[in-house]
Amino acid sequence: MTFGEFFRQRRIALGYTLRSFCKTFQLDPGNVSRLERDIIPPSVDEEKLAGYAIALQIKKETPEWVTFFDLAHTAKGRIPKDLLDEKDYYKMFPFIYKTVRGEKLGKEKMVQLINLVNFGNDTNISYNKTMTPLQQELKTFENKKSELLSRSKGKFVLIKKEKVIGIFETEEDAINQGYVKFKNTPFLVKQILETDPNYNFLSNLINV
Amino acid sequence: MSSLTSQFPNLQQSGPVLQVKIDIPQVLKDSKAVKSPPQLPEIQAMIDTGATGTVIKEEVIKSLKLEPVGVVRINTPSSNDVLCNRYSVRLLLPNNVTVNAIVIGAPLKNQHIQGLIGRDILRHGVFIYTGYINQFTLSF
Repeated sequence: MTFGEFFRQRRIALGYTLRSFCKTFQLDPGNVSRLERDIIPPSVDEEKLAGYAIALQIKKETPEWVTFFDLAHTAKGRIPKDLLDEKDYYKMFPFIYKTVRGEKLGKEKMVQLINLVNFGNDTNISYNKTMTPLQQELKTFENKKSELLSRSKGKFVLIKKEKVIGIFETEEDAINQGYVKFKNTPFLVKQILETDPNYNFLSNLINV
Repeated sequence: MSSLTSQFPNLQQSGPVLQVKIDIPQVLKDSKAVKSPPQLPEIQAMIDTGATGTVIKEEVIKSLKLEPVGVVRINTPSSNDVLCNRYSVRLLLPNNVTVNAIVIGAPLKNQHIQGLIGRDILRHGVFIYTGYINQFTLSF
């Protein structure tokens, strides 16, 4: 299915004619018509796409939402941003391209690809040595998160590479233990929470 | 209670800034894994009640050769959800006030301000901004 077909089907399913849809959401009928006929590709601007998705009553974080964005990126010949941001997916692309082109993958690579598709991660993938410090530890935390939450929610975990070293009552204790064990090498101390709160800065001095 | 007071000709213009020396944490010093540099880096840091945490310019952290002990996602007026490293340091404030803190390493735009003292440090103390006499006091 193309982006245009998906768009058109959703609009018709909602009982809109092209004209009534465009009038309701103040869109240009000519542009929407061309989008639906796949004459022009959609914008991959997140805000614009989200606007279309909301107009088509596609709920956020549903498979339809993901499909809508994936089809838009495919129409534009782009890779969806969430995949570009995810290092493990990204490094599997060459294998996917090979497979699509009919080239054979080795057994090990095939297992990795299957695990990635099925589970969203692959413990067989070796960690990239060029990863910035703590990426590996963050991955370990994500893999063990549900287990840690069930027994030590709110406490602080010390992680080095793939190992959970210990659980501590305070962040300071965890860091001190990290320094005792690993000296001045990267290790991760993290509070065990469902969702990590972001730090907010009102000042525009921080240049990130 | 240790305390420091600073007075400026124009506090509104300069903001509540402090000279802060940055040192490696004591536990790391004791382990002899890293030595403090002979001359501790000294920065100008502004007290920022609009900052959840304390930030030190990345280059300053690098000069101490410290490795990260954690990460945090930050939101700023121009960006959201940026992952930054956190470092354990000792902050040596004027008047021999020493604070152990886990600070964020990040690039800062302003040449003169190399750090922001955030609410993670302020939560331990009392910050009095007495604008009409261009003076502020920080006590722990």
